[in-house]
Amino acid sequence: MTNEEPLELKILRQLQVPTASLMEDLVLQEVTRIFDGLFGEEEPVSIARDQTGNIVIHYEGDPNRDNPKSLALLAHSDHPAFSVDGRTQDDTNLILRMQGGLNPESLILDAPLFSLGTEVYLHRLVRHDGGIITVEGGIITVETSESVLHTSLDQRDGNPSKRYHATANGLDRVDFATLKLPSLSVRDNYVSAPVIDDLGGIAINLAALRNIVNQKLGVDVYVVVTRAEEIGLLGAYGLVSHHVLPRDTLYVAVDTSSCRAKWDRADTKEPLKVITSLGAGAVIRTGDNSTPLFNGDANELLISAGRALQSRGEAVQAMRMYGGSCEASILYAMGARATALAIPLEGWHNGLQEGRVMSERVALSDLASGVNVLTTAAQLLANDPRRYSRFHVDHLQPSSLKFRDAVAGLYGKEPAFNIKR
Amino acid sequence: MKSVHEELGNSIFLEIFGDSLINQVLDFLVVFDRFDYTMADIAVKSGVSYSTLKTLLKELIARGLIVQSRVSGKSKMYKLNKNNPLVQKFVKFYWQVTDASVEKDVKKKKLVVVH
Repeated sequence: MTNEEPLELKILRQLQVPTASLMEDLVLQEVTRIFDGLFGEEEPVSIARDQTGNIVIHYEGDPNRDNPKSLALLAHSDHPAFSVDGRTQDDTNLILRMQGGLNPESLILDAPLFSLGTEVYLHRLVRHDGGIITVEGGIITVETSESVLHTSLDQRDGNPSKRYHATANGLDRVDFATLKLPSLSVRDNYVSAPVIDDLGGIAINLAALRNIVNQKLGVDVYVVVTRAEEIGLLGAYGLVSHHVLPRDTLYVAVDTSSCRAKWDRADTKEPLKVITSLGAGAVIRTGDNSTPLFNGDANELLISAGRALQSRGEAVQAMRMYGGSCEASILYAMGARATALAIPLEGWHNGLQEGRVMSERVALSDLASGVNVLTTAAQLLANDPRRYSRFHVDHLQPSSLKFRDAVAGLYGKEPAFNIKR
Repeated sequence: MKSVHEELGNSIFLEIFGDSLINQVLDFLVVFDRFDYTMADIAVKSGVSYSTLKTLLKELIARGLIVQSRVSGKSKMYKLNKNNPLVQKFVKFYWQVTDASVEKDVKKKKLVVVH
């Protein structure tokens, strides 16, 4: 008997580097290292960056090179973190502000999640001549805070957002800061780490791709590591708006999603409801908070895979996970055949719903279940593509109203960037 | 094209009740019940020869367990007859057998899409 760790856990371990929206360089660097270790030069797998900076790994499995059937597995490389807004007038303190899903924290809890005394790591990314990126920084303590009204979103409920002050720790430049939390640990069937959303998704996708390549499945598979999901699904938007992948690709956004949910995150009176639990299998996410039901073909593919696995004794779930919104929403709003797969998560966004800073936690068996669903989906698509080609895509272009509504659903405000109408 | 059993291994149902030809056909039609299939599709996917399936299907249709759903081009399409109470009970039984084999600490739910 061997105690060797499953591949998805090994990858998740290796991906435990600091990250923030638009500051994903260390994660992307690790992904390229993992790619080099996972795939040999003789295998038909390549890696590239697209115009948005997403990593696109491509397995050319379909022998029909003129019109290959394609499956894309997406996961994002960023996580909510502190951006550095600037320095105080006397230049002694940094001004930190949460960005991503934790912003604005005052809309979720009566009291802000972060209080004085919260410890954070400062990070400065250093690029070396050899292209390697390292991080310098140190631990500091949040010392003071100020209430500010930043945006119309903050004003919606009349609640101010918070900016935090902290010493610069001698650094002349700080790129971002992350919460100080214990490093990755495994206990029984559970893995805890500062960031699993969505490094766990990347790990699942790469492990599934390894299976797919091992089995030499006759389908083209793209593993896309996107950027800046937490601040507006920007990587996924860039991927689809630049037509990076073939038109008829079936997209699966693989992400973690909170076990507990409510329809309106801004409504402090609506109680949180437990909608799933850890260890009950990966969730075929047929819809999310913004989109009630994703694309029919993509949903059918995952549901067929899920049922096939269930008949073989594996736990898989399917539901609309409405606790948040994922990249499938923007892909689908843009006309792509997209759906999602979710891994149930506790401590979502480091304890936002719990009101205390904590690690994120998932079940190892759910990660394995995610790998199996994706591998089986690729098998089904390779062998029976006609079943999953009922809703053809005539065009892929921004559908301005759908897009605006999707983004408005996420943030309750106008989109952060404009599109041409 | 490979059969589902070749690709994914036998289901819990087939392991317990044996992979007889009729079980293989029913197993495939229960798990992939969201679509309808030609006779050739069912033969390949369930791992049963076409000529054997022709005989089997005749019997299953006569008993009302399988129905012709539509005609696509020149092909007749078939699926499980879910209006038949016997089929309904069989499908329920199939998933109960499967559920029972999953670890007790997993809160197992049948894969029903919840919107």
